Amino acid sequence: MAKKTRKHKYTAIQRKEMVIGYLMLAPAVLLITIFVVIPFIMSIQKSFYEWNFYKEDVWVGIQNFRRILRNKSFQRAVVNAFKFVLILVPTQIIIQFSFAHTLKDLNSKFTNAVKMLIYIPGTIAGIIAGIIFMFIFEYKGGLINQMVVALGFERIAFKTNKFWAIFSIAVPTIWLGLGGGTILNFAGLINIPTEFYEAASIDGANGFHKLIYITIPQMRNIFVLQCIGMTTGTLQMFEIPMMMTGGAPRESTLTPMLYIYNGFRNAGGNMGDTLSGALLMMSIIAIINSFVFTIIKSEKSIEG
Amino acid sequence: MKKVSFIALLLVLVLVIGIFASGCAQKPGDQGNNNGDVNLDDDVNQGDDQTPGDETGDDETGEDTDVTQSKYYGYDYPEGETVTLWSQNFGEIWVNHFSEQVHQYNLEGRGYTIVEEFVAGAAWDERMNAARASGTAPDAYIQSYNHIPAGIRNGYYVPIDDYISKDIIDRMVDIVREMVTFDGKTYAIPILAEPSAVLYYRKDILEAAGYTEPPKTWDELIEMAVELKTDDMYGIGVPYWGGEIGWSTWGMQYGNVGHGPLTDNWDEPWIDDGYREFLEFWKKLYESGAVPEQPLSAYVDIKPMGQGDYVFQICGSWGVSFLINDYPEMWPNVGVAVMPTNDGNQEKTTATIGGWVYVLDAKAKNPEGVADYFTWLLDEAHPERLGQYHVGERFSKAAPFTNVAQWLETQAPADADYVAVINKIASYGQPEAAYPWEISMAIDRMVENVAMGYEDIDTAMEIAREEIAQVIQDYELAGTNPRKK
Repeated sequence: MAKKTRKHKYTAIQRKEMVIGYLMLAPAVLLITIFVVIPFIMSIQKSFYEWNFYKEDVWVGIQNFRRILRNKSFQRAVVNAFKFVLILVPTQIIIQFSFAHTLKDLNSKFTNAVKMLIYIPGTIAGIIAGIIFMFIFEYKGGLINQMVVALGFERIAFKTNKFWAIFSIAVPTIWLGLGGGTILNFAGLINIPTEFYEAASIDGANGFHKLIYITIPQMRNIFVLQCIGMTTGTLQMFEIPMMMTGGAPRESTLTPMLYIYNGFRNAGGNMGDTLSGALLMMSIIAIINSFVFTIIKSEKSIEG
Repeated sequence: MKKVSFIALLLVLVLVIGIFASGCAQKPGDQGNNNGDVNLDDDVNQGDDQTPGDETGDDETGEDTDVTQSKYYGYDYPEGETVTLWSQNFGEIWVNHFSEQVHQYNLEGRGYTIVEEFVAGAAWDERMNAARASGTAPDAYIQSYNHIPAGIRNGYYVPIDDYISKDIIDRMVDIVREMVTFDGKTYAIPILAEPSAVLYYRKDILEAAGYTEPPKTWDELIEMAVELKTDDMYGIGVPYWGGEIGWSTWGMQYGNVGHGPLTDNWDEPWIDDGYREFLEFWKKLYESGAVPEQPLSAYVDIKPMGQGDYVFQICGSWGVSFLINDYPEMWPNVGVAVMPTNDGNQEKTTATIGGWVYVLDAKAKNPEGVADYFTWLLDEAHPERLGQYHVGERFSKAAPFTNVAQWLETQAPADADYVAVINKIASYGQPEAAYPWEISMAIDRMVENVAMGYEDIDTAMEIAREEIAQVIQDYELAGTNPRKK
């Protein structure tokens, strides 16, 4: 049956409410326009110029992009970022889910205390976490190396050994994300109707079956959310690599954001290169997010 | 239920222990043999962008704020046009000395009021770039010598010749004048000049082992370090990759290799057999176990030497003042020597001359005021106005003006042998590299590749050649060497 379409007429009250609504939106729109939209458009425009604040801008077309794409350090940084995504995203999801699952089953007076303690890392800034873990991973006086030496082993060179350098970045990153991620998983878990588990029990399902056939499918939206957030966050990783390794050894822990930051700091550098690198990373992150959304089709999210 | 409670208790325990453990690791500044080795700012600076311009800042003062104001901030001076100066915070001696000079200048009421701010090193680049972007850069600011060529290329500075009298420029020490002059124009007012590589060694340990003098060749250095190191003391503290080797070995390259990594016209890489020997030295350093697997501090930080963690440490001449001021008990046991060379000849370049200058911003609102202040500071009749800073720094840096250098000679204590060593190194010193930083990073990576065994020497040299050729092409460097002879 064909639907009749007619132009909707707003009442006077609705129009008044609309005006109020737009007025309420205006400050946010204004701020986003000033601090996000305009700089973004300017960035795109500037990326086609050679510029440095003091000289006339010189149109160079796509030269900045070609230069940054040819740059070996930037290439390594992008590859490193994806390596970190592959290492950190699944590891974090598994750890956070495991913690949340354990918490859910605790059902004791300690649960709140544990939740609070788990959440503490989430309240700490990345740079502070970096400082804490620098002390832990220090070569001579660090906690780990003191223990290693006490046990009669050689000190671990966290900055010069590729494996340990990645390890020294992965641990603080996982630690920082533990609080928020665990609470998010915990919220997702307690949201699963208990009837599902009761019905499964009646049908003879064991704990493993319940995990595979009820818990994980029901947590899909949480996992999608985490996957996107963590992928974006990992591709933008900056403070921890800067504090822990500075990109060493052999640029194996150099991340795109650290590279871009160093480019910005380098007074002799062309800002166009740096800007092009930042725009490229933004595009990569946007594409990855779209891709993740596409391949992990969440029924609930599709249903809205 | 009991099982669940036990798990909860266990979780609480693990987390509590974890949180406390994070606070139990030894802090970097702790004293004793198990001293921590990392200074936060040093580590930040070990990023791949560390240049000579990063060698100071709050590394030296422990300041945790970005900007330090003069203790006379807010003082009621005679009326005058405001002139803004920015300097990095190079420590208490620097801040106190130049705050006092600015104060004395302002009291004279010469028509200008200088406002100088001291910015933490770690925040310097961000602040400068933000100020340039917003058009609020100070009238004049501090820069390291090696930043001058790039600053000129970018149009950040203007020459000072139109503002500063020729007499002041003529009084500059020759090598310093060379470092601040490009295309016949003078671009900076030098404050200090310091050799970037000096060998510090433990006199007491060498004497006990029967050595009467420090090593003169690379081989001797490695042999002595391997022989004298102990379980509690490493052999040699050397610069690390990620930027440090890129700049701190400029002098080693010029003196031992015979040239830098670019041809004089900057049109081709120049990585020849001279670099092979240079790379073999780095390879031997690591293979022999003379150096720790991971350095105990940033290159600019002499702290491990002060704490007795090294037999030898390579650091800039600034290390002297830190050892004297911060480690007075260790200082009598420390000797200062010329960096060993490939052939033992120490009468050639072993270090570049780095240091700090003031540049005049291209958008300065009051260049006349800047000129008036520096004309006052560098008054020929008052060498102490700059010289007292060098006294405070224990003569660890060379004065950039002849009259100040002469005045300092009258002030130096008779037993300060190290002054002669530093002056000798400086006399053979060369200006810091003027080529883009990316070239230095290619050398840095080449050394890392060889020292850590990632590549053999030939492959590492070939990689460096390719990287440098790419930089030459990308930045259109051919024919742009501002110091082409």
